[in-house]
Parts: sequence; structure tokens; C-alpha cells
Amino acid sequence: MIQCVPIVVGTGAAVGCTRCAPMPEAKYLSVAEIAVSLKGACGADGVVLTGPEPFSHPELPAVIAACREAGFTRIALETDGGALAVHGNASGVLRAGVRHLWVRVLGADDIVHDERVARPGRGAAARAGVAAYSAAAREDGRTVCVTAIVPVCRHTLPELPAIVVSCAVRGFDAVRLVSTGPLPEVAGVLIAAACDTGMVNRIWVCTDGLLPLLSSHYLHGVADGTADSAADGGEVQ
Amino acid sequence: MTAPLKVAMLALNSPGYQSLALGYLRAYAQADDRLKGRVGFQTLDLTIDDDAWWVAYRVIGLEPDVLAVSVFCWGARATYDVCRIVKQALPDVRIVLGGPEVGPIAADVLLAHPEVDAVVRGEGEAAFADVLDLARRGKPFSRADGVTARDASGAPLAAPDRPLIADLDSIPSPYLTGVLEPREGSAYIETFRGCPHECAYCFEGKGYGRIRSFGRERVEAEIAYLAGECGVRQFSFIDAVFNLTPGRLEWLTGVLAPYAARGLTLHTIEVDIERIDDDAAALLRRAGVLSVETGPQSVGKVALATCRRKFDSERFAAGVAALKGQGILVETDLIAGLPGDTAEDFLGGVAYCLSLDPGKIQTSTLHVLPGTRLYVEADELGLRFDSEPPHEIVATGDIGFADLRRLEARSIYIARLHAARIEGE
Repeated sequence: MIQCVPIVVGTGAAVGCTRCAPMPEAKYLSVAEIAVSLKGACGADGVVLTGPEPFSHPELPAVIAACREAGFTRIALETDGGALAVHGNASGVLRAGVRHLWVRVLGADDIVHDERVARPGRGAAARAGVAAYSAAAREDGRTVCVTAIVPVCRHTLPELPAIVVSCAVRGFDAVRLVSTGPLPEVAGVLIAAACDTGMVNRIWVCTDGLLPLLSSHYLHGVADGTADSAADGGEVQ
Repeated sequence: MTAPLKVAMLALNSPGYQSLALGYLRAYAQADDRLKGRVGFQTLDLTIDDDAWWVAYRVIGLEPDVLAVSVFCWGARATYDVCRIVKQALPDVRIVLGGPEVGPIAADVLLAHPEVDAVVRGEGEAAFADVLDLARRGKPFSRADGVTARDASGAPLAAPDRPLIADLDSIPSPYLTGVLEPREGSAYIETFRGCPHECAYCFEGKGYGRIRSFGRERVEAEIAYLAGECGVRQFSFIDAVFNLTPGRLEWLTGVLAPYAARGLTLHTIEVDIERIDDDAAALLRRAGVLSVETGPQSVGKVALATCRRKFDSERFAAGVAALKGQGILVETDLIAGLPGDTAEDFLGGVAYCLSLDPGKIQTSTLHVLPGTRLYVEADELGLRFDSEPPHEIVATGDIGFADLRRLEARSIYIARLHAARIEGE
């Protein structure tokens, strides 16, 4: 369906579970280097700026402008969401042209999320940031799409249904469960439970192609909005 | 001298809409010589968001002799709630329902809702005027053709069908008579009744079987009143197909263009997109059309054949392209749960619509509406649906309950992904 091609803004990784692996150091690419990647994505429905936290890129406005210059009308940021809470950031990226957010969620509440990303205060900041972005969109009359990206590891796995509920309460449009590595055998059942929890809470839950999924839930097995919705490549490292 | 019959007219609309039906009914009845000076009308044009107890409070405050309600599927449950409360508070009030939700299943409605006294079947104007005349004279409603009422024991009793009104211009214009005050953005004009198509899931044609048009002079006068005298800047047409014929489209464009040049815009008019070429698209633009609503509803061959719906993907795509070329936003509609469609067929339809990059993709689950062929043939087609309005599909022979809900949720998300983009900046 709709495909947003990942454009990495540097080396490193989007925020993940630090109990599984420490966060690698981020090093950012220049706008010119990113522009080369954008050329390669020509013809796609959109792009997602990903890799290390895009809000920490020293020239994020110029990167977004480069996306627009390359002709993309669907520009997504994959972010931990915290920077959106900083005054002016939410409306700034919205007005710059960002219409999609992929927000990393690692816990059903702020305490657990903060513990997993090993950064106190990030959960609350992300909540405030997403709310600010959505409010700015409403104020401007612009349609945006906010998707929760939930890395599935052995730590988040048991909590997936609760995470889905928290995302529904926070007003996300969908939850995407993404693979991070091997999982215990019960994973398929817990992932199905997360999908069902989404259905009864009126939020769509999809999975990337690498996660185990019960055959009864096959319709959840396509990650719309990603570059390869049939077989998502899992985490961008 | 006998006190005038007090009639409360109620509609529970989707928010942002006003009831053209109530306007027609009241304008027709007010012009009826039998009723002049003998009937007083009060219109309550409300929404489904209004609390049933509050609506009942408004109705009861009017102390009507007759409560007449125009019922569509989306407001039916609330309507029944209101009627039940009103009947308890005012046991002598006579409650008459009409509209597409109740007309085709009039006897069933009476059996299920003891508070309802009569149901007008099909086209309502003439039958409703007869009902009011009977009410005024204390006669049973079952004497009115086109009405199902109750016999002495309370059982449903159907009077013979009533022929359609041959000359639509005999129905006074609700706008030109001052019965209906046009609201900015929610006013509608109707230029004909019926539909040239016979899609099995749709009741827009209301079983009329043939197209009957309002006179051109009357339509022109209504447009002049709304767009000229009242200064309404945005309204729409309720016609099932705005581009019914090339000649009609040219005529309507000629009427609308002067107002469009001064800022009138038309939104979400329904078009037969496969008959739109560059010239027709240009006419629509000149008429002030900013957005249209169209199918394909499904691209699945079995569903299309079962629903007797024609679809040519190339002509459809050409129509979308022509409209986009004129800057007209195209809303493409898809229905999940049509008989014969698999989940893959539905998702194929979503992919097809996305490939056209329309202005908007609107998906919904099937509602098996009274009066439609699907309603009548549901069992043999394997359709399971909620018997309560709005009659949403529960499961089909090809898609189970859970997968239908999944398709609904997923397609809403895809539509959101599609809509969230930079536009016109």
C-alpha cells in the first residue's frame, strides 16, 4: 500500500530497549549526504527520517527542506517524541512539512518506558510532545498520522497488550510492532493478544513481517506505511 | 371552531446536515387545501448527537397531536428512544414515521415498536398530507394509501401502495415557500428523484424505479434563492448522480457558473465517474464543484456481479485523472463486506484507489439497508447483519466477523496514511 522509504540521518539507532542492548553512539550525516539517499527514494509515496534521533540532527530543518525539495509530500520522523515537547518544535516540524510521526514506545507507562530507554523523564516528554503535535495539527487544520512503534523484545513482549491500550488512550492512529531479535515461543500468542486488544480499543495494530503471528491474525501481518509492507526489515540500525 | 391540529415534525440528522425531507413534507402539507388553517406545524431539525431525553423534552413541550419523524438508518435507534419516551408522557399523541429506514419494513416497525401508530411507505408527501387530514377528522390512518397503520386490535394494517407523484413540481419548494431556511454548508437541492443504477446495497433510488425530474425553472429558482438571495456560499446536491446526462450537466453548469464565479462552491456531489471526461470535468469546475464522491465500492468481480454494479477500472481512472486535472478533490468510496468479496478483494480495492492517488479514500463496512436487494436476499447470499439499525454487516460467506472489523480498522489507518501529506503549500 503506502510506502515510506527509510532515510537514515546518521549512524546509530532509534531509541530501543537498553536492557537488550546499549544505545550505539550517534553520528549524523550531512544534508548533502542525506540528499543523495533522497534521490534514491524518488518515486516512493514518502520518506521516513530514521536512524538516530532526528531531532538531534544539527540541521533538521534543512533535512526536512531537502525532503520537500526532492518532491516528497509525506515526510515522517521516527523519534522518541520527547523533543516535540520543547516549545515550538511540534508546530515547527508540522509547518515545515512533517505529517507523520513514528514514535517509539517501550512501556505502558512513563516509569517503565523511562527505565527501558534508561533516560528519566522521556515518557512524559513524549506524551506531551505527541499531544503538542496533534494540537498544532488541529489548530492548523492539517491531517497528520501518528503511529506508535513498539520494539518487541523479551522485556516488552509480556506487556504488549497494556502498551497498546496506553497508545489508544494517548490518541495514536495505529501501533506497529517491530521485531528486534529472537523471542520466546509464546510470542505469537502475546502478539495476537496485542492485536486483539487494539481491536477492542479501536486502534489498528500491525506487525512487521519478522514477528511470529497466528494464522488467524494474518491481516495484522502487514506494516502499512513502511517501505516493504510485505516483509519489513525489522529495526533500522 | 375546532382547535388546529398540532403537528411536531422531527428529524435526527447526522451533524452538519439539515432535513430536506421535513421541508418537503411540511411545504406539501401546508399547501393542501384540506389542511390550510387547520394544522399548525413545528419543525425540530436536530442531530443524532442530541440526547434522546432532551429531544423528547423538546417534543413534549410542544404538546403535539401528531409527531411525525423522518427516519434514516443512522438516527433510527435514537428516534425509537424518543418516540417511546414521548408516548409515555403523551399517551394520546399519534406517532407517524416515514423515510427509507422504516418505509420498506413498515409492518415490522409497527410490530417491534408499539409506540408507533403508522408508517408512511415510500414517497411521503401526499401520503403524509392524507394522514394529517385523517388525524384532523379523527379517522384511522390506514385509510391513507401508502400507509401502514394499525387495525382495532393494534395489528399492522397496510393500505394499498400509493402511485408516485407524477409531477414533482406539484411539491412546493421548501426553500421558496420559506419552510426551510438554508444553512450555510448543509443545504441541499434535489433536481430529480430515482437513480439510473440498481446497485443491490444502495437505497438512494428508494425503489422509485424511474427517474422523475423537477422542472428546470424550479431548480433554477431554488439555486437563485440559495446562492443569490440568501447568499449561501456552499451547498450540495442530493441527486444520486449529478452528471446524469451530458445535457443536464451543461444546463446545471450554465445555471451555477455565474454564482460560482462569485464564490459559490459545491462539495461532495455524487458523480458517475466513468462518464467524466476532460470536458465534463471542466463543466463541473465551472459549476463551482470542489469535491465529488464516487465509487468504486468494490473492484471484486464476484461482488460487482452480485450487486449488479458496473465497473471499468480504466474509465474510472480516467475520470479521476480528469477531475484531478481540474483541481477537483475526488473521494473514492469502498465497502467492506459486500457479498462475494474476500478480504483480498477489499484490500485490492484499497490498493486500486491508492494507485489513483485521489483526494480522499473513504471506507466503510456494509450496511444491509431495508429496501435493498441485499436486505431481501441476505440469507441466500450468506450475509449476517445486525437486525437493528444501522444494520451493519456482521459476517459474510467469505469474511468472518473478526476479519471484517480488522479490514475496517486497517483501511481507516491506510486512509489516514494517505491523507496525511503536504497539500497546496
